[in-house]
Amino acid sequence: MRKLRAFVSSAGRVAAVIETAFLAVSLGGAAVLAIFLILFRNVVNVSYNAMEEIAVYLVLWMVFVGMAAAERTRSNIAIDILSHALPPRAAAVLQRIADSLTAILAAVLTWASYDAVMFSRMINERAVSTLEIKIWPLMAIMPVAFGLVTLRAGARAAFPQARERALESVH
Amino acid sequence: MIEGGEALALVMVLLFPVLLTGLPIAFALLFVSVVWFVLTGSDPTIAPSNMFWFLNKTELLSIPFFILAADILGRSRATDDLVAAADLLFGRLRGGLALVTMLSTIVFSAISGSSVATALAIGRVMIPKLIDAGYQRRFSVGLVAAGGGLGIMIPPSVPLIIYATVAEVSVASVFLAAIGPGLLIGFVFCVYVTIMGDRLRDPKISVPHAGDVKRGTNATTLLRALPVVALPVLILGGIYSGLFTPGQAAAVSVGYSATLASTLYRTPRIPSLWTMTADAGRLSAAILIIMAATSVFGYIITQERIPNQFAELMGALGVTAVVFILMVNGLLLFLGCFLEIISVILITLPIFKPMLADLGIDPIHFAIIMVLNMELAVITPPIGMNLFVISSISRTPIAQVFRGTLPFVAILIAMLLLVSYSQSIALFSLRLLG
Repeated sequence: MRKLRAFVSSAGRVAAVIETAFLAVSLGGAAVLAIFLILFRNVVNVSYNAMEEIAVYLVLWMVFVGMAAAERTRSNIAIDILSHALPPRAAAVLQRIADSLTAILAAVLTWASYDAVMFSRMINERAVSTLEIKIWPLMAIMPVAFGLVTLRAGARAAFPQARERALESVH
Repeated sequence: MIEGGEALALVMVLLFPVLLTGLPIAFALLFVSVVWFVLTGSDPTIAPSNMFWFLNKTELLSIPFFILAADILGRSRATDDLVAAADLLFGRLRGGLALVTMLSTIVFSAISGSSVATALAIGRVMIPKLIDAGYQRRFSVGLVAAGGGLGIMIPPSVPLIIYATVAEVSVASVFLAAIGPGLLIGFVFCVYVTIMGDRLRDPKISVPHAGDVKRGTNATTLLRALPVVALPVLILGGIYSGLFTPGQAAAVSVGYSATLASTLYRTPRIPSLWTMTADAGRLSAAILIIMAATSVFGYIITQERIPNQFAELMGALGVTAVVFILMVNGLLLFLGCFLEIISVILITLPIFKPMLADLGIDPIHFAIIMVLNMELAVITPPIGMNLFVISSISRTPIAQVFRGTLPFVAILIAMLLLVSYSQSIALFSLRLLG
C-alpha cells in the first residue's frame, strides 16, 4: 500500500511538471508565432498564415491541459460561497459531492470525446485552412484531458484525505 | 425520453444547485448539458465536438495573450513607476493620493484587459499607502476595487473581445466605442475621490507621497513610466492602423511587456517568466473552458429556439427598445450577482442578439451596456471577483470592501442609465475616432 501511495505521489509530481511545462511552452510558443507572423508580414512582406493556425492549435491544447492541471490544484473557477458559509464537516461533504459529480461528468465526456475523435478519424476530417491538417489528432487531447480529470476527481471523491496530502506534497 | 422544452426547464432548475455545490462553473454547465442530452436522447458527442470547434478560433488568441502581458507587467516594477509618475503630476492636488490611485488604475486598465489584474496590481501597491496616509480603510479598499473594475471597460478588455466574438461584430469597433464611456467613468470616479478623499482622511496624519521607488529627477520619474503608458497607444494604434489584428496586438503586448520586464525593470527575472507563462496559461484555460462549456449550453438554447421564442414573446408584449434595455439591465445586474461575468455574457448574449436587430439597437451600443453591467457585477456580492481580490490582499472583510464600493456602485448605476439611454454618449468615441 505504501509503495502504491509513493508511486501515485511521484506520478502526480511528474504529471504536474509535464503540465506546467506544456502550459508554458504552448502559450509562450503561440505568442512567439503570432509575433513572428507580424514581423514577417510587415518586414519581409511575406504572410505565413500557418503560424497563426499553429498558434490556435497550441492554445486549444493549452485549454484542455490547463483544465486538467486546474483540476489537480482545484483552481478551476467555481462558486464556493456555500462551502465557505457551511461548517467544516458539511463543507467537506459538499466538496465530496462536487468531486463525485466532476468524476461522473468527466467519465461521460471522456467516452463522448473519444467517440468524437474516432468519428472524425473515420470520415478523414481535415481543417479548412492553410495546413489542411487532420482534425482527429488535434481532438485527441480531449479524451486524455477528461480522462485525467476523471482520475483526479474520482480519487479525491474516494479518498479525500489522501488527496489532500498529495495536493500538499505537490505544492 | 422527455420533450426538449421540459428537459430544458429541468436543466435550468438544476443548474443553480449544481453551481452551489462548488463544482467548477465549466463543469456545472457541461453537467446540466449532458443531462439535457440524456433526457432528450440526443447524441452527447455533440458536447466535445462543439467545445473543440468553439475553441478553434483565431479571435480567442487575444485572451491568453492579454492575460500574460498583464501578469508580466503586474509583477514587474511597472506599477511602481506608473504610481510614481502619477504622484509627481497629481500628488500635490487636493485628495492627492486617492486621485493618484484612481489615475493609476485607469492607466493600468488600458494595459491589462482584466479587472482582477488591475485591482491586484494597483491594490498591492496603493492600499497600504492609502491606509498609512490616514484614508479610511473602507474608502481605500472600495476605491481600488471599483477602479479595478475599469479594467474590463477600458480597452483592451477580455469581456469586450468575448462580446465581439459572440455578437459577430468588429473587436476594433467595440474597443473604440468603449474608450469614451470608460474614460468618462474614470473621470467621474476621479472627481468623486478628489472631493471625498480629504473628507474621509484623518487630518492628523501627514500625507506621504505614493512613489517609494528610488527617484532621480522629475524627468527620469516621468521617463520611466513612459514605456508603460506607451503600451495602450501601441496596441490600439496598431489595431486601428491595420498593422495587426486584435489577436496579434495581444501577442505584441506580450513581447513588449516581456522586453520591458527583462531589460528596463529587470523584474520579474527571466526564470520566473516560465512560471508566469504557465500560470497565465492555467488562468486562460480556466476562462476559455468556461466559454467552451457555455458554447455547449448555447447549443441547447439554440436547439430549443429560446432566442426566437424570447423575441416572439417580447414582440407579443409590445416591448420597446427603452423597456427592453431596462429589462436587460435588471436581469444582468441580478445575474451578475450570482454568475461569473464571462458566463453571463456567453449565456445571455445569444438570447438577446436576435432582439437587437428587431428593436433597432446598435450591437456596439449594446456591448457598452453589457460590459458596464459586468463592471458592476465585479464589485457586487456574492460573486464580485474584485471584492474577493481586494479583501484577500488587504486582509479586510468582504462586507467592509463592499461598503467601500457602494458610492462607486451608485455612480456606475447612474452612468449605466446615461449610457443605456443616450447612444450619442455611449458611442461618442467611436463616432469621433472611427
